[in-house]
Amino acid sequence: MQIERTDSKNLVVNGLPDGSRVIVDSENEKVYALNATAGAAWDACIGQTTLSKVAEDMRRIGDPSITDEIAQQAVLELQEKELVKTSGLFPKASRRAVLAGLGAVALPLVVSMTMGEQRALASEARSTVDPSDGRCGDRPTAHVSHTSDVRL
Amino acid sequence: MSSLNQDLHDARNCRETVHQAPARSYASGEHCFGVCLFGFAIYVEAPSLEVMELLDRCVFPSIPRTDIASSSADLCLRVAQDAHEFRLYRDDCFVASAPRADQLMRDLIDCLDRGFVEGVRNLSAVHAGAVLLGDRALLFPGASHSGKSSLVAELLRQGAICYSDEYALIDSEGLVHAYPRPLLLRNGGREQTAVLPFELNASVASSPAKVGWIISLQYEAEGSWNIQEVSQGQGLLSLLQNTPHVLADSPHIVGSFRRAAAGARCFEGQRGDWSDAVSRIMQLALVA
Repeated sequence: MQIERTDSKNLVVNGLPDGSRVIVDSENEKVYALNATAGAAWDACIGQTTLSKVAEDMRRIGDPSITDEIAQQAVLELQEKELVKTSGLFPKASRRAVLAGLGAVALPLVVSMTMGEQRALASEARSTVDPSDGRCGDRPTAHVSHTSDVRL
Repeated sequence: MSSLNQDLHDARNCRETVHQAPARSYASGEHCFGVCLFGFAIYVEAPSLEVMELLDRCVFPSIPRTDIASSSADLCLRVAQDAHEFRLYRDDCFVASAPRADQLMRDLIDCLDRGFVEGVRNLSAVHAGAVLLGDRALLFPGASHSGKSSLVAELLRQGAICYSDEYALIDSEGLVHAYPRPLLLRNGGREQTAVLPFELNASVASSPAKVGWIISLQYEAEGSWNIQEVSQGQGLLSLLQNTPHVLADSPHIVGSFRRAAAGARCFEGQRGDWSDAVSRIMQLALVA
C-alpha cells in the first residue's frame, strides 16, 4: 500500500509545542486541527510511503509506543479529511487492537472547519445584535432596542 | 470583501448618503471627550452633562480621557437630543433613537465593540471572556448567551483581574490585552446591567499576559461539569471559531493565535451551574 499527501499547493502548517498541528489549506478553503498523534502521522507522510514506514517514523519522531494499529487509524483519519491519499487496502485492524495500543498515546483526531463556516462564525462573534446593521442607506426609522436594554 | 470590511465600506458610504446627522441644537463640543485605546481614537459627544455621564461610564471608563477632534477620530459616537427623543449616531450615521438616553446605551456599546474590532490595528479579537489568574490569562471563548459575562463576574469576585467579558485582544506575540468596556450582566432576562470591574472589587489588567488556559464551554441547563483536555491545535481552532475576523481576509490571525495557544492548556466540554463552573475553573488553575 502506498500513502502520500494529497496535492495541495497552498498548505500552511502551524506546529504547536504539544505536537498538534493546525493546517490552513487556502486552495480548498479548509482549516484542520490535528492532535499530536495525527500530527505525527502527517509528518511521517512526506513523499510516497507505506503504512509500516509511517508507523516507524511516527515512533521515531513522536511516541515510541505508537503501534501499527494506531498509525493505521491516524492515516485513516487523514485520508477521511482528504489530507492524504492511499492506494491499496489497509490491513484490517480491530477496534480492540487500536484501543489496546493507546496507553499514553491519544487516539488520532483531525477536526476541520471550512473557511465558509469560519466566515459565518465570524459574523456572529459578538454578544449583541447591531440594531441598524450600519445600513444608513436605508431610510432611518426611529426605534428603541427592546431586545437588550442596559441598566446603568 | 470580508464581512467586517463590507460593513466598514457600508458605513463609509453611508456618510455620503442623505442620512446625515441633523444640525446640532447645542454648542458643538460642549459635552465631549476623546479616548484612545491601542491607537484607536474615539470621539464621544453628548447633548447634556447627564447624558455625558452615561457615555463616560460606557466608553472604556478606565482609560484616561484626551482631546481628540471628531474629524481625526477613528470612531465618532454622538447622542443628540430633540424635543421628543434621543438619537444615537455612529460616524454621523443614524443608529437608533429612544425616549430616554439610557435606552440607547446598549446600542452605543454595540457600536463601540464593532467599531473598535473593525478598526484597531495590530490586535486580533476573540469573542471570549478573559481574566488574569496569577500571571496567566484564562480565556473562555464562546457564543453569545454561553455565560461568559457571568463567569467573568464571578471570577472577578474570587480575585481574578479583568481582561474582558466580550473580547480578548491578542497581539502578534500571542499576548492578551484588556478590552476595558463595562461588563454586561444579564439578570436572567433580556435586560443587561453595565457593571464596572471595581464594583466587583476587581481591577482591569494593565499589562498583557501569556495565555494559560483556553476553555471552550457549552452551557447545559441540566448538565454538569464535564470537560476534557484537548490539543493546543484544537484550542487554536476554538479561537478561530470565535474571532470576528474572517480568516480568508486576515490570514495573519493564525500566527497570533498559534502563539497564544502555544503556552496554554486547552479544554472543551460542558458546564452546568456557573458557580460550580467557577470553582472547577479555579481548581484547574490552581493545579496548573
